[in-house]
Amino acid sequence: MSQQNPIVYVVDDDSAIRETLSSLLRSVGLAVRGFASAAEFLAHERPDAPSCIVLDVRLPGQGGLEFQRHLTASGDPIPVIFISGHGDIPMSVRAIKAGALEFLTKPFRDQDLLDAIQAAINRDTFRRETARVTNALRQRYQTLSPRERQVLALLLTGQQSRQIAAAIGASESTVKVHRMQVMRKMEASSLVELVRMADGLGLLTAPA
Amino acid sequence: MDSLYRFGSLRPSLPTVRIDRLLPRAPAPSKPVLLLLRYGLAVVCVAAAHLVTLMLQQVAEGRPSLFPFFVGIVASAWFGGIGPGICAALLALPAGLYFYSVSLGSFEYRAENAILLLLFALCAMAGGALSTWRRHSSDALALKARELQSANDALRNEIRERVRAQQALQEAQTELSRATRLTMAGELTATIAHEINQPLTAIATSASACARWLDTVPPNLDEARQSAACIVRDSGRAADVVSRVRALIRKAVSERMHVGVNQIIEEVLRSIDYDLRKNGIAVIVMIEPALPPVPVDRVQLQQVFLNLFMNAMEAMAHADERRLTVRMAAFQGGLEAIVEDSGGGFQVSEAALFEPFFTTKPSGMGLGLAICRTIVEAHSGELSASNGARGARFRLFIPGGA
Repeated sequence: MSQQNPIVYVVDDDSAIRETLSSLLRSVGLAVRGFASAAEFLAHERPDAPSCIVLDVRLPGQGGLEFQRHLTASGDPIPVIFISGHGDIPMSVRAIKAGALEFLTKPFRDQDLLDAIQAAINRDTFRRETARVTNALRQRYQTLSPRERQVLALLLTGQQSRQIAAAIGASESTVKVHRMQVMRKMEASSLVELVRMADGLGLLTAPA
Repeated sequence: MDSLYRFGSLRPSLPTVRIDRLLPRAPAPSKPVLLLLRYGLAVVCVAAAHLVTLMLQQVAEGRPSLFPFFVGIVASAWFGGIGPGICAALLALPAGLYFYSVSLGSFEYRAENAILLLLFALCAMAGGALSTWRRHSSDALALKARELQSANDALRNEIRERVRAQQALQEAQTELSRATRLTMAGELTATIAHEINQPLTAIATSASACARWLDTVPPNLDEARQSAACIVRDSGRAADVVSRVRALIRKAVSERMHVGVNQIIEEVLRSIDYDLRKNGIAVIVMIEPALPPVPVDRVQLQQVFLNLFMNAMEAMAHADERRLTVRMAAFQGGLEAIVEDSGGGFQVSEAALFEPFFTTKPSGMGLGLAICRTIVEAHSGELSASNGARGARFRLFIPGGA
């Protein structure tokens, strides 16, 4: 795991808020980057690290809610925490429905914000870890030969080597060799683990 | 209130009314029947004259009087027109001849008689013509009178309509000004709230950060010091917002001019005239003549009086006696205005009354009187409140000069 330090992005047009939030977050050991607008944030190249955005609802140009929609639409999974000077209920409902993790009204308790950021970072870390594992599995799966993939698909349906051999028109010993290769390449120590990996790759739902 | 409600300023452009359309037309009998009636009347008149003359002959001996015939001819001309008049005159001629013959025993040609008869005929004709002419002019007069009457009625309707429209307009204007007032106050409050909330958030965050920097092991004094500096900076920013709001009001005051305050009061009363009448409030305005003009911001002072009047009106909503008294007099070179209602007065201290966000109304924001006092003080004046005989009594003083 090449785990980097988490980064919090603060997007607020008020420099005093950016500055003081940055100080608060740094005091608990978080790395912080501040941006005055959504456009500024988008122009920034983000390092590969767990992160979240602390986003002001009232932003110049593209407003906070609109920016959140833009992120969702472009498939950016970064968690969003809203801070707002005038949080009305319909606005917060809209934000949460659109996937925001938290909606805090200014002035907020520091602990509330830190808790929300912690939850957001945890969620992003978990998402990134899941994505990393899935990615590794996908790479392992790529190394399987077409024959081995065929054997794997039949294994997942619960068939024995003999049955598989009959199905693909090969000898039982050949199937056993394929099966061992599959286990080795996928780095699975048991059949149960192999099935779990296949589930992670989405092979179980797709027809073999 | 009526004294303020003037029609003078209202100059209605009179519409052109087509009189002929407004006049009722009596159903006229058909032409031949009418003709028959008119000439029949002539015959009847002459016959009646004949009878009367006969009767007169019985009573008085001597030369017959042709006066009844004359009356008959005139009556025919009056009621029937010129045609029946001539007809009656022609019919009367042989009758006259007859009477002369009877009275004189026999008809003899005498120049005297002939002239007399000719004169009679001429007089009768002239009488008839005159009568017809009189009738026509009198008819024309009656027609004119009716035309005038309907024009008058139309005009009266028009005025009623106009008064109604005027009332509706005033009602709408009052509604609008109230809505505008609320919107403006709401927007202003929201803006101020946001402007204050931002530095407040920064201050709270800095304070937390400062404490956390001090809690780290070892304490990070540089960061803590910086956070403390941020707190100082952001409190200054919050204070700036407050002084900017104050300056906003002062700036408006600098555009003040010498306006008659009585004129302002009159304008405000007129704008809420509809509400005052709807709530059955008697308004008594006592203004001392020859008041000194004082430099004021017209719109702001309108706001002050509007607020005081509206408060008074709401205070008197359930009072038996509803009377709003406005007195104005010169005082120490400036102006003193007293607004008093009969709504029972207030039960809290005067200071609480002017406190921002203090309100006794279910939907009030509690900013009205606070803003009023700020405005009056921006005019270097004073606004105070006390309980009068029957209700609240507000005293407003604005110094002269400046």
